[in-house]
Amino acid sequence: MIRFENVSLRYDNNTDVLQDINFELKPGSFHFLTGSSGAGKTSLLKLIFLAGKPSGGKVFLFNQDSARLPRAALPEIRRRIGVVFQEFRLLDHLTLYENVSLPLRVCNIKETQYRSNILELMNWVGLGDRVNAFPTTLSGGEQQRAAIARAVVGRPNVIIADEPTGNVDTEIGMRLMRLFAELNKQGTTILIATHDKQLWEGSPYPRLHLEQGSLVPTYGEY
Amino acid sequence: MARNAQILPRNSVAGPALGAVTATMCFLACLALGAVLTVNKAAHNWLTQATGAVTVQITDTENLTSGDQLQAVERVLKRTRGIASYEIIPEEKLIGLLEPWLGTGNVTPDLPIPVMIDVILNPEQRFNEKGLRIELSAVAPGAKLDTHGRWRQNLERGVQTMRLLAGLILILVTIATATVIIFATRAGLGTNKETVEVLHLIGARDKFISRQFERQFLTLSLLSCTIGYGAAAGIFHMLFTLMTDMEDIQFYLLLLGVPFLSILMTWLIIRNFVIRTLAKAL
Repeated sequence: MIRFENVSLRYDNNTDVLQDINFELKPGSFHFLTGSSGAGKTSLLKLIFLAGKPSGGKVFLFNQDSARLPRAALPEIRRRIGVVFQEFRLLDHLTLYENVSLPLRVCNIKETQYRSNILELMNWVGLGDRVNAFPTTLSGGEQQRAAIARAVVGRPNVIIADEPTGNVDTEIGMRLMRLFAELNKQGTTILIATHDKQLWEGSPYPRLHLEQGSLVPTYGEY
Repeated sequence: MARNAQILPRNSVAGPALGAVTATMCFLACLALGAVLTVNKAAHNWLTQATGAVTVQITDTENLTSGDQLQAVERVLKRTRGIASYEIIPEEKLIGLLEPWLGTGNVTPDLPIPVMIDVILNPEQRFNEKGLRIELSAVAPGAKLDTHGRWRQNLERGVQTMRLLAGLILILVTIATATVIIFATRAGLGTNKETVEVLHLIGARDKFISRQFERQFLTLSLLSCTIGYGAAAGIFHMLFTLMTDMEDIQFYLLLLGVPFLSILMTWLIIRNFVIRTLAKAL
């Protein structure tokens, strides 16, 4: 589903961010992407959701080389990847309902077709009573859940979450993890980037560990 | 209960300042076009009247008085094709026309006043101006045919100059408006950079994003152009109360072309600019 082949990423100032990255995410898998801050987790995720291009190597998304995708094909690929951004990136001038429904609006789906689904989804993430609230009036945890709802609403094949528990307390963090596990059970491929050891320790899911821009083996963990 | 609102924040793309500029530009363009239409119509009326009539002027010669030549001239006019009627202007009327220039009582009997004949042409028949001129000189050496050609040429030249000026104003207004719209669109894209990026990342096509910009600009453009057009139409309506036979519905319909073309231009510029800018984005 997602495959990195000898991928490297270098910024304009000649800083190597990623070096020789190789891995594959199979359909329905659940992975953690771990590493300390600055290890290159966000940069790697950006290559997956097409917010950047590798300097070397190849990134295959749904068996297509991302470097060869024509611009017109990018929206279709992006719609198959739900992203929970580290800083949420909710639009402050829109209500939660409008934020969550945005991925469906950009597909020109009529509101009558998704309205009840959105309300149901918002209840599911515990925001049923915050439908008309604006993001700036919400707590970090509520914004996080709204961002997750927006990421899953279009029923993507892959969900990528960048530090999804970074702004919430342990209890909400565990609740969000149960949410991801539930989505994974339904067949969604999950990749969660985190530097929080508590999150992946004792978890049954494998992890990709980044150190100074390179993937290092995590032998014998599972 | 929640309903979907505009994706781009209200007034983040096209603010009241842009609305005021667009309204002013539309108003100026309407004035320029309206002025040309009005001058065109007035000139057409004047030219129709001028080309529908000629004047024969008979002056005394060495051997013949103007009165002696009048009968011969009348005979020629009667048999000339293309002439509907003619009227000899009474001497009192001629004196009346001269008095404003020479002063009341200064038109003395020894002042040689020519005989003037107003000739009305038949628009349905061909009038041979050159032939009439030859015939008149043959029978009345003091007769001269005046077709008001020089006056007509001056008028036509004046109208042409007005058209060129108005055209120039329209071109300048169009360039200024297009530039303002491009700058406003660029500023709007900058202001909404975060929103545009999020829209791209959740799978929005460039056309979808462009439509959000177009919608805001067009709503504002529609309102501004209506105000600009309304103000210009109001001024012309007041002007036409002073100029009889000039106001008609066709004038206002033609003037409506300005806001219509402004809106069309706004739409095309925004669409083109936004799509081209987005193509360089993520």
